[in-house]
Amino acid sequence: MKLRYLIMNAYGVGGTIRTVINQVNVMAATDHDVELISVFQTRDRPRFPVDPRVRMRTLADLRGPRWRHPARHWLRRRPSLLVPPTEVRYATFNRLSDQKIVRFLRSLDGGVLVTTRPALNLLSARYAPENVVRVGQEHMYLRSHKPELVAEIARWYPRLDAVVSLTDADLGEYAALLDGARTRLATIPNGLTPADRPPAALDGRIIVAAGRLTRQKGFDLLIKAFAEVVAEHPDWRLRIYGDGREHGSLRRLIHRLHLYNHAFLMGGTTSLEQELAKGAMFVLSSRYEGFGMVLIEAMAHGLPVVSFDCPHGPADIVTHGRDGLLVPPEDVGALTAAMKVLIGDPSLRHALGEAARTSVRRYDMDGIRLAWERLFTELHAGAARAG
Amino acid sequence: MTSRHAEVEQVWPRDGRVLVMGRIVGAAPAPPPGTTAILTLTNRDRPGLVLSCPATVDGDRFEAAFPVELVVSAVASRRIDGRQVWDLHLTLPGDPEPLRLGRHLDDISDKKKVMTFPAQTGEAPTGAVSVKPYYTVMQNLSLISRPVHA
Repeated sequence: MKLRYLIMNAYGVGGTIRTVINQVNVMAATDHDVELISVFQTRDRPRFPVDPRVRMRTLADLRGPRWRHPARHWLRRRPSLLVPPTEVRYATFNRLSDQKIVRFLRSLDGGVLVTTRPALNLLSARYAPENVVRVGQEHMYLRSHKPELVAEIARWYPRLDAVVSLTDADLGEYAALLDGARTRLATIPNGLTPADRPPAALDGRIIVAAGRLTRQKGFDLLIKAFAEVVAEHPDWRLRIYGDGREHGSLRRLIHRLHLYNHAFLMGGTTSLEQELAKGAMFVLSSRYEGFGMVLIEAMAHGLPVVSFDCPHGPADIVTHGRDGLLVPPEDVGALTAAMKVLIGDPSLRHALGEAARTSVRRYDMDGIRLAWERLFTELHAGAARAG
Repeated sequence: MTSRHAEVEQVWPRDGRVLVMGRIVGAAPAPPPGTTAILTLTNRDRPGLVLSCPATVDGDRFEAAFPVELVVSAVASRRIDGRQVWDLHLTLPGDPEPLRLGRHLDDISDKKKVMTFPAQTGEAPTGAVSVKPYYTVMQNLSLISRPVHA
């Protein structure tokens, strides 16, 4: 099958980029003809490894000096006319990308086109020919978009062949918005790529958390909750992995709460698997998530998890009391209580961890690949009948 | 890392004091219970300038606390200006070789960035001075004192 994935910038770092590259890699490894089209190119090589069987193409190459490309530079400085200003990455797009994307979409003839963010999904709906199977991916969730953007989605997504969400809860929102459209709606979560995931040290005394140090990830809430844990269990430690602009304020919070012997901002790591394996439990304290992939990664080590039941992802991933504990979002007291329950009950840690390791097998990349293949095949057959 | 050192486990810079707790690693015979040892703060630029306070040793455990005033008054009385580094050692009775304080027996390699401590400020006639424990790139425990400019 000829599969084309259109992404804003395959050369950056981020959750969507990593996920899309994982997808193209697994599709290319199973004999599909896969092309990864990056709207922008800012570096010579992608930051995540791309399978050599994936063909790469760039629409707007931003490398090289400006004086050598005066027309390109002039277009780059003009704001986009096609991307809604309420799109989170509106400022990244411009008149040059408008031109290049539309030209690319109009050039297509058949095959499957997967687009990976609202701006690109909208442009695919508007400009890709009818004989292309057009699939729009949602990597956050519908309610995370501004009302003006949701209105654009309601207007244009009915022209897509499929919209794919990461969670059933989000898919329900899309179903309500796109009621009556012929667009196929599907939930396909992110897949867990094969990796060496050593079993976690459940009899240790380390609590692990990981994510960018931003307000979204709620590490301020976690540190406050952990302060109450330490008051009762002074031999436990908290390790938070990741970098980000909240580093200074989180460090000041740790100092102010006198947690400098107990809570550590570990910085970014290239071996998260090794660090997760040192934990006796994992905590997700996010205010919101697109999906919460790191929960699945933690559970694959057999780590019991405590997670805020925030939108979106944790409730899909964790079954409360069976393979982890869910607590009301942003409820610091409940987070403290759940951590204390796991600290006080080693056998519960083992039971939840064992169940977690088994339950996240449903996210194995092979199964996720099959879900994508099934969807593409059905859409193809439907398109052939219609054509 | 030396074969013998004082392994730091907790540092508590609060309430105007710095409390250090840990255990002695690799020392020959353990001193008798309740032994009084000495914690020293050696000025890195002036090796002759050494501040000290008593430390208790019990088995292989040690504990010592000093007021930040100890450092503040030393800096103020000698009219030392600018940033000063002080290296911490533990001297056991009857042992001529002081043990460097450090933290080497865990898996955290970048302590200077990961294990950080708040500064405390002491007042001196010449102005306020802040005192902050920190781990060096060699994972040893030192202090930084510096004048606080209003």
